[in-house]
Amino acid sequence: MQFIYLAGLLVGITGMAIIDWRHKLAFWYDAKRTALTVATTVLIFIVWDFLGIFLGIFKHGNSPYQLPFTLTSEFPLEELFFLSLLSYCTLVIYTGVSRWRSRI
Amino acid sequence: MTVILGLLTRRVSKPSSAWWITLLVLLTLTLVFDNLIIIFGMVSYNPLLISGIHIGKAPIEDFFYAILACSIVPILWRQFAPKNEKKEL
Repeated sequence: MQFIYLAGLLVGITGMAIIDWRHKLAFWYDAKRTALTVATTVLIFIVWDFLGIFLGIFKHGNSPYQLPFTLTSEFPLEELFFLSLLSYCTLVIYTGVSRWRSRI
Repeated sequence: MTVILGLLTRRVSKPSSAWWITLLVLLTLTLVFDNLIIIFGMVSYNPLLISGIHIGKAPIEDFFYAILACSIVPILWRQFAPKNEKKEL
């Protein structure tokens, strides 16, 4: 039960990776460039997240679908995967749509 | 943050139609999944500190994640392009 959220995120990441692989959009286009882009974006979001935590805006939900611990204050492990999914998703969608638009 | 990044990379151009489509897709995904994770109790907010504007159960502030991602990723993607390919995408 506790792994449901994390599992959902991993399904999302895997799905985007399959689209990426199939159309050679991001990681399968230029692995280093993808890694740098996603890693930097995730880092920026981590700072953004901690800003929200520091200001007291976010609270960890403690639902039965999440892991029962946080890495630090209100920051759960799943958040790292969510931010990676968001960043990777944006990149794959952006490169995919750009290529599609440049061909029609 | 986007302004800072744009200034650092010195290349902020008019958004392409691909960018707008990407933004639309991300905002839609955010709308759906944000509401889901709030309904399933995975995250909660201090109601005193948010504006109070919601779309469904999702605070409008959460949509800034999608907007931020959409703004940052294309800039970084171009920034990290290999030297011989700087004009790409």
